[in-house]
Amino acid sequence: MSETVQTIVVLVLVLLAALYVGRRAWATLRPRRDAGCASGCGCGEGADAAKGDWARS
Amino acid sequence: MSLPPVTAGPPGSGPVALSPAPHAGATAPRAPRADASAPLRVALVGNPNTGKSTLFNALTGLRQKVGNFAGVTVERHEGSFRLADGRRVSVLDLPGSYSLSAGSPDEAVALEVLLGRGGDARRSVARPDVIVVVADAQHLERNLFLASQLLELGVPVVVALNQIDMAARAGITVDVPELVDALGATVVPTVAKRGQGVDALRRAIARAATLPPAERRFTLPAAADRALAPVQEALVHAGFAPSAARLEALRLLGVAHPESHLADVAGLAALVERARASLREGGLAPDRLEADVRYAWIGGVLGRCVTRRAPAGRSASDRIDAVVLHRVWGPVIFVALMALVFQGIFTWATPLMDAIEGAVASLGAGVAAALPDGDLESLVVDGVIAGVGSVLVFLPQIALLFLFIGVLEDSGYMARAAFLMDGLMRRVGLHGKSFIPMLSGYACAVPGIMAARTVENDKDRLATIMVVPLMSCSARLPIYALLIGAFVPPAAVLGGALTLQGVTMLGMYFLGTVTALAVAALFKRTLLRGPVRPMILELPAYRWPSARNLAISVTGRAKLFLRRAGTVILALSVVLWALATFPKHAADPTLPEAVRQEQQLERSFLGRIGHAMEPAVRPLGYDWKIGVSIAASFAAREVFVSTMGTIYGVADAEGAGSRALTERLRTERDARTGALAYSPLVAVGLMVFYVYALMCMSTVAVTVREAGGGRVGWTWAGIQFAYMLALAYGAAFVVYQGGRLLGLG
Repeated sequence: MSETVQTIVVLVLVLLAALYVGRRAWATLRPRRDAGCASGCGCGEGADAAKGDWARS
Repeated sequence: MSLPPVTAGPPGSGPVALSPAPHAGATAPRAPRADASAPLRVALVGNPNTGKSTLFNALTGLRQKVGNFAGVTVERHEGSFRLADGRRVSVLDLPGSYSLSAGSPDEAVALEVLLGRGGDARRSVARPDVIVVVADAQHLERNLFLASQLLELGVPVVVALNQIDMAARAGITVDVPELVDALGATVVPTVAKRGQGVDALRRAIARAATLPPAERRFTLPAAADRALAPVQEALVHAGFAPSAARLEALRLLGVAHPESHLADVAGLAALVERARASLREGGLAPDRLEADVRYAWIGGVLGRCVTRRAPAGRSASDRIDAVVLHRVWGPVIFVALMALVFQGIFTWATPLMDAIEGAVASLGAGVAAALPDGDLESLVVDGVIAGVGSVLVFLPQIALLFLFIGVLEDSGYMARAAFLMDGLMRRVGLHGKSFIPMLSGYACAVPGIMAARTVENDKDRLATIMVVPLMSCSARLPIYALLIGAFVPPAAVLGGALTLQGVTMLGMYFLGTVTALAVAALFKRTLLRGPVRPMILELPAYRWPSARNLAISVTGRAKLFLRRAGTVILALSVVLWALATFPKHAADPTLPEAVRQEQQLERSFLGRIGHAMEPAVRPLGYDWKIGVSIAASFAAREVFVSTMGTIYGVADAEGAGSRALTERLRTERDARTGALAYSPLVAVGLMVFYVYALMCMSTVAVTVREAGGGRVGWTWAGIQFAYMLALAYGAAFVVYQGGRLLGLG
């Protein structure tokens, strides 16, 4: 694998990782009504529980 | 009233049910659902610690957290299953509640769903099609209070008579057909933890949807009926069903302030006050009326349906409690158990940690051999494998911690720990209930803060939220383990029963707990001043921990840890590798490889950021590498370890894995002085820093929400972050500088 190809792959991977970290930070800290485990607080606990809650409008 | 036909059978054999024939005296029939193919909505509700979540798991096949103490569920959780005819049933597990009066936010969650009214008028909430009341067969008197309220909601009710096996063992026999007759609702005996009666419950749920709603089973004194009529009228006018209006009118007599779901009922407070005055004139006590009439009815029901064998003597639980809750032996046993836990984490996890470490090192070597030299190889080996691998090594310790916590919770010991701590909690001004959220904080501050919803009083709840993150969560464990492994010798203490490593770990947890209590005392005497309230705590019977519950707890946490390692920690390792690798520095090729790599690191973006931060952390004895690792760990505390792994992975290609990192920390030398960069004093100071520092984005977010949201929430989250950072910095400064003054550095 040439050095140029390696550099491009590395650049893409680093950009994707930075975007992911930024998105997670925003998802955790953005203002919203619901927070905590069930709505995906970021800790991961109960993250599946919020799906399809019929009592939420 | 004419009795409907019933069938009876042992647990698991089938529901004891009403026939689907029209029910005399039923409330107005509900409107049919617009879409018959839509999922059937079922709400699972009951007193705390009756096994609702266990039943929820058994019904839906999900793995919701369960525990042998009250207040495990503070949010609603949704799952589903399919009936024999293919129809989907959507089940909502609601937080436990003793009545429909919402004293705490978790009870408000249940009330909103059951009444179909959101906390604010703009938010609609769908009502359930069927309510499943989970009642503990051993404590029917208390459980039937809530059940009697739920029977009046105008929704078909199925009663799951849970823990019927425990009741039988305690000499309690419940005449199920008689109970069906008394309640006017289907009753299914269940043993949720063994799955007994669950199929019958599924069938009963399907049948109940076709049955008319349940109704009030007792009559009020005529004077009460007259006094409450205007309140009921106002509620019906505001959109309540007549049966629910009757329930609410009676309930409101004992409620100091109508809850938020009643905010749009015009003039309600004045109407309730008039009803109270009218009742007093009639010689009735309005505050006690609901309890009096319901418990009088419950007394009659129990007389018909329940027989108790005279107790043979003290139960096994009582005998254990005589020791475990003893004034002297109780605290001794508590401390001994904690010491065992932390010693076990060090001793028993080692073989597995070694195996993972070997696997990570082999993977690193294999990938390095397979990929051509260059940036990509460096990214994968020095960034990803060194970063993520250094955290993965701690998986066995995390699993062991949750195994121990699971055993303590499921056996019923956690409730005893809360009881033991109640006196101390009251002395610091906290409500005894605050101890359960604080205990939950040992696992993770986020569910711990959520668990503070069980605390009724706003100031007590806020004080609890403010101190929960001081409890050492599992994310701190890799940091403690790394530093203790590197700098604390495994010397035997207490005659070889413990090692210095285990004692140091215990000390970190102890320091966090003691500080949490001290800070709570400070909050309760300043910003959150308020009276101390007594706690009523139900001590569940001891039981052998369920292997299934333990497996769910441990595998769930292990998966969560692996998910974090594979997502946030992986992504951050890649970003930090890039920061530590670029811009490329043209080093003098005549210099040794190690010196060139160190120069590259020093001149990278990360090195420059670190050096800019270094003056702030130098007084604590830290170099720039620790400084940037602390800053990066705001995303998640474990990132401290992965960042150190990545930094040393970039600086040195020896290999990936924590033991290599441990070794590097021990032997690292200061480039300027040539002396060892890190000493045991620095390590202790760093651990103390992490005991106190709130390095967790998720905790900040949940504090914002739970402290009221918006500006108020952010203010409290800001106070929490600032005081914890000040405490962390101050304590680490005192440890390092004080230690040096004493000649320990």
